[in-house]
Amino acid sequence: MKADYINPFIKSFTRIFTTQFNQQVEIGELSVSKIPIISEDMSIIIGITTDMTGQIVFAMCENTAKYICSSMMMGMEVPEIDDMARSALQEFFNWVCGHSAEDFLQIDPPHTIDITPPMISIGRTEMYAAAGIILLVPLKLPNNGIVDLYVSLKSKV
Amino acid sequence: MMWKEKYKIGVPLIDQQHEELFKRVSAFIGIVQNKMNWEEKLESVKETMAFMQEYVVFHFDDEEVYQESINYPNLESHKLEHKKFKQAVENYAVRLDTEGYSEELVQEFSGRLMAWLIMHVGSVDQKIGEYVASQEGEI
Amino acid sequence: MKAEYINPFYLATKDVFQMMLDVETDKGQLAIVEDMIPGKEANVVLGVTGDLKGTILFSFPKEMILEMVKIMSGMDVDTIDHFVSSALGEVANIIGGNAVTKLTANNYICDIVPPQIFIGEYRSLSMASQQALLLPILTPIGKFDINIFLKEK
Repeated sequence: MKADYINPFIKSFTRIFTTQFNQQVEIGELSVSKIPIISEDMSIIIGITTDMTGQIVFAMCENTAKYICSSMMMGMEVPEIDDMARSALQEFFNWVCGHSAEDFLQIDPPHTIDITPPMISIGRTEMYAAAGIILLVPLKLPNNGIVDLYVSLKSKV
Repeated sequence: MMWKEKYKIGVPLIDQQHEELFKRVSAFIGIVQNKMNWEEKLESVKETMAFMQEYVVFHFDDEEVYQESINYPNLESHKLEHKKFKQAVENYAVRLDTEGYSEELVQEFSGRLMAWLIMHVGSVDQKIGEYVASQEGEI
Repeated sequence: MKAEYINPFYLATKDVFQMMLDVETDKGQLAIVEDMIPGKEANVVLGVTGDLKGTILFSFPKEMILEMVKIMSGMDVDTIDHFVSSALGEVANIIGGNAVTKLTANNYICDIVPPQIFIGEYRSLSMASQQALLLPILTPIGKFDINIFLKEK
């Protein structure tokens, strides 16, 4: 696991907020996460394969998830995380990870990655990942909500 | 005790070594999982781990020599399995050295080790026995 | 969803349970899950990419996980700690590897993400817009579910 591996995800996340929602995301400090990852409320999990293997976890509270959904839906109010909201979340995080794939092609050596469809977990969970060290970067949204980005990846190249 | 009769492959030398290996892994896991305070048992943990690791290498080498001596057709792919496992153990050793011998990391190592060993001996190694039996005393 | 890609996961599970735990498995009634999946306490997720894309979610009651690790280790296991989750992860990894081999035989070339383990009491999981198949598995040591979300590329 290298610190570099987390950058493409930070970049994609912040770039989508800037270009699509016209909003700034504040990037917090990088740290090594404790294992298990404890998600108190909601998390979105995406698996990575091919030249890199492991998982990306975005953990946040329900309100922050609603904020992202609302941003995806042009500022529409999101009273609860229903079918439509879950779809929006899935699409957003699919976007983030999909765009990161382009950056991974540019690193040295280039890595081709494939991503699984996002899975949403609701409720308090402890997560153990199988790829060793997990890096954590908190991303602060304009509503002051935090998305904790956890990256646990191993290069196969 | 982790060892089960069904893990026997029918080759006495290999079976003896497998049983010894399981004994050492059992001892290692036993210490890791007992209720003693981590700091107090850390020395024992390191000792049993080293004791177990050296036997893994010794056994793999011996088993490969045996496989070669009987012209085992799956020698190369089997050697690769051994190599991958030794590499995984190496990686944990490096992590333990750099990150420190935390209870969590050692537990993680011992859990994977146990499951992998059961799978390897219970499934992959069984094929050696099957091959030997198929040669009906021609070895 | 087709039998050709569901069966490899079921058969891989069956084989591994037999070989590593000496536990017989039986299929329960297949069901379709539309909304959120109520997870049991211990869940293992295997992401799948390649010719098939999606997730396989194994959902176990806590007691069953403890029993599985007890069978493997020959020791009494009373909490889900790093040792238990790691052993469970490796078992899932082995199931995944076996399933990939069987899928290849059915002409589906896939890759599997290293397993992720989720422990928690009140939790639900969702693949959002995708439907899932729920395959309950009955064993002498407990009942668990294999949830399958897979789509062909």
